Amino acid sequence: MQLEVESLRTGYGRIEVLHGVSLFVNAGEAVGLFGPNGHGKTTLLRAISGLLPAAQGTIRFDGRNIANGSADAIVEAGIIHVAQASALFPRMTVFEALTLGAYRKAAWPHRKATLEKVFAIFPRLAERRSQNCRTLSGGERQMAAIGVGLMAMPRLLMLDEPTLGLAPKIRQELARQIGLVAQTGTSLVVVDQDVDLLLGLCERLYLIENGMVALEINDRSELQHQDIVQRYFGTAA
Amino acid sequence: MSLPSTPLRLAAAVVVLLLAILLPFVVTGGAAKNLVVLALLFAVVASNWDLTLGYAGIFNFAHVAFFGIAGYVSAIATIYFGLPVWLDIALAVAVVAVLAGVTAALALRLRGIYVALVTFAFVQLCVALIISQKWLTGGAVGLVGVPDLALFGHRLSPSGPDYLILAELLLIASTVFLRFLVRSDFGLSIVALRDNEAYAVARGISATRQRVLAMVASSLFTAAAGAVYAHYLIVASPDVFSFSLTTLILSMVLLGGGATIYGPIMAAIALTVVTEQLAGFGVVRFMIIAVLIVLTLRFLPGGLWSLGERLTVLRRNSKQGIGA
Amino acid sequence: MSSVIVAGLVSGSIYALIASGLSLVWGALGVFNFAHGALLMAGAFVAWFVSDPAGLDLGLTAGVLTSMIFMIAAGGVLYVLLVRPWLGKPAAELTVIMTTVAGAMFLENLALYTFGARLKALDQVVTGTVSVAGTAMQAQNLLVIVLAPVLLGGLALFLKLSKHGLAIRAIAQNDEAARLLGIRIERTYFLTFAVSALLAGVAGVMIGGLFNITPSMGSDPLLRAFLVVVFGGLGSLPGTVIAAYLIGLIEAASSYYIGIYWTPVVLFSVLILVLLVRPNGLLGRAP
Repeated sequence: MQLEVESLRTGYGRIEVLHGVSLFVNAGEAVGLFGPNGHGKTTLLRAISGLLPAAQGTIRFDGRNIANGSADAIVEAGIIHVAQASALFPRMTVFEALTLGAYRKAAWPHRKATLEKVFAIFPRLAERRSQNCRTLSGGERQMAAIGVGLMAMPRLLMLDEPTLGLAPKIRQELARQIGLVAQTGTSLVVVDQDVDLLLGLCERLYLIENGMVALEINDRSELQHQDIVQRYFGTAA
Repeated sequence: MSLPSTPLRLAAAVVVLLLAILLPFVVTGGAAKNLVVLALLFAVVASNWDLTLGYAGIFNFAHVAFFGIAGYVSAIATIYFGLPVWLDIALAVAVVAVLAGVTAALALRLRGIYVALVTFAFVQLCVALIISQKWLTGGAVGLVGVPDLALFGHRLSPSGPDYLILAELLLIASTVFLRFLVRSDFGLSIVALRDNEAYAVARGISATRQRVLAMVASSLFTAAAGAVYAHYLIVASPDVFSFSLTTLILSMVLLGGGATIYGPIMAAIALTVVTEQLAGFGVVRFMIIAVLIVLTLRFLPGGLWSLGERLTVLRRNSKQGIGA
Repeated sequence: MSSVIVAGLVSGSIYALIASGLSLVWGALGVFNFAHGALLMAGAFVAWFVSDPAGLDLGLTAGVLTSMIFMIAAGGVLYVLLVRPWLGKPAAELTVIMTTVAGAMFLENLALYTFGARLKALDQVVTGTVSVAGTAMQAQNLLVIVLAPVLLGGLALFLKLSKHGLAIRAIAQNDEAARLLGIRIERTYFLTFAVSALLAGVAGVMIGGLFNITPSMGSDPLLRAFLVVVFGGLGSLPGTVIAAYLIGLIEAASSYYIGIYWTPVVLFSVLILVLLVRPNGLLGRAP
């Protein structure tokens, strides 16, 4: 197990959002998280990446407890969190933002080679390299955000709703590109509303509901898509 | 904010009044009296600044310039135009109020830090103008010869208790005015604008109008104090516009605790006395004051006034503890 | 005419160095350093003390180098003592104005206490006069006019190409995204203050070589820098630099043609005009 979250409780101020979440990610695995809005998916990612302190429980990465570690120490360990609908750096060019993505010590010396790999996955970014991030379209911005994350040469990449608000065609393109990322051997945690997308990408899925893991799906053949949708919307409504 | 109970406040008011009545009899020495007059006048300036800085949240750094300009208006009106005393004070208040309104209307097109920068620049402009127009203002030396105030033919004597009493009356009037203002609908509206402008505007409060009014209101007693200050010292001096006086009075507001009115008054009196006590240290005293300011902001962010409040709460809690 | 341009470019260069430091700190931390002028003064005094025969008498090169190292440290210390404790707290903007005003008060009086009020001057790096395009000017003036753009260009490159320069800009634009890339916010703030102070130190040494060194030498340039950043729009480096040269030139022209005493009036009128049309400065962005 590369990442192991155990009985994690956390929230904002006095409001607890996660009431004891346990899940794990194996090395090289792609894991999907889904569930209704406001039930703790983003909060979980924020706790893992060190933006939010954990009130209780452990988060182990390579067996080391990183709960309550600083955001920069967690990045140095190799976990990169690509935030939701990231505005990125509006007044930086795509190239500058990507360069900065390699801020992590382990990644900085290799930034030129990594940049080529990122451009191979997202050719659109190569075209837009000298444009300000502010001027990118929604899809391009998401590509840039993932590209910036990849520049850190992550061992575990967490994507928060990468396809949110995108047109179906761009969504498909992005899904294919995330698939390419998964093939590089980087472990993935993908949060998305689009269960079809997750089913296409991930080996295992977790349904997060009311701040807890409501369902773990280990074998995709185990459950039909219809069942998930039924359960998902049945309980969310 | 916890307010003391009504009987307590009544008692406090009586004590303050008694002190005010006693003060002219107790403080008779020349140096001490001079110090108290300055402290009282600075208390007026600081507490009025609290209206814009603390309550309205406007970064108005031209406040002390209002104090200085009033002195010059007074001096010019009496020396060149022979305006009767008292009338010149009224004129100074009027001129400064208009100036404050215009400054506010211009500066408040901006936000936050820009207001601070522009009002700072405004002060710089005032100094430059005053120093350059020597024929009118006396240049860097200042305009000397402001006549003493007089009442029913009796000249207010700088050696007697007269100015001390005048400064006291001014401070009391100003404080009553300010307390009335901040507890009125107007006071509530400027606080609402400070804390949540979008919401306040949505509730029908005009942001610009209320803020301009706050600036004008804060300039009234400040100007009166500035004019009295010029009469008292017989001179309107450009030193009033110096960075160090602004710093001193700003530290009174912040050390005392913003948005309290009483805090800056207490701090003004305390700081004037402390500064004077440290006079023997020469320039080192300003270094000490600077350190004190930073330490207070670090460890007592609500200012000295909040310390008093904390003590009140503590005492109340301990009483309840005993009663239970 | 040409002497007006020279004077304008010299002031503009100095204002640009001072104001870009203010703007940099504002962009990254959202606070305004009122002790920036006092830092400038401290830089000039250190250079003077190390180089002057009345001090350590180690020569101008040693003086300037020591001053630069001192400034980097001073900027960092100022950040730790007067800024960091209040960041993220309510009313940080106003409180930091106050703490840095107190810092300025401390430094100015420390200088007064240590060195006295007598005027001092740095030796000029280069002496004599040179003639450029038919205009004779002091070599020191030419040095300032040439050096400032070089330094500002260096600053721009640092911010565009280097890891830590990019990090300063990243924090200014989106500090959560910056944290998610592993950028050490604290360290980057420290660095921002160090760079800002270094620029102020260079300006201080320049002023010390051209005019006098006094404990209050920083306040006038600082107030001019206020005008510059309001003109140019805080946080926009190109805007700041353009505004600095504009103000330098306007100031020189109005001192020459209208009279030195009316210069503040001219500057203030221009400022009001600009703000009536563009409340966020010439090149500023809406907040």
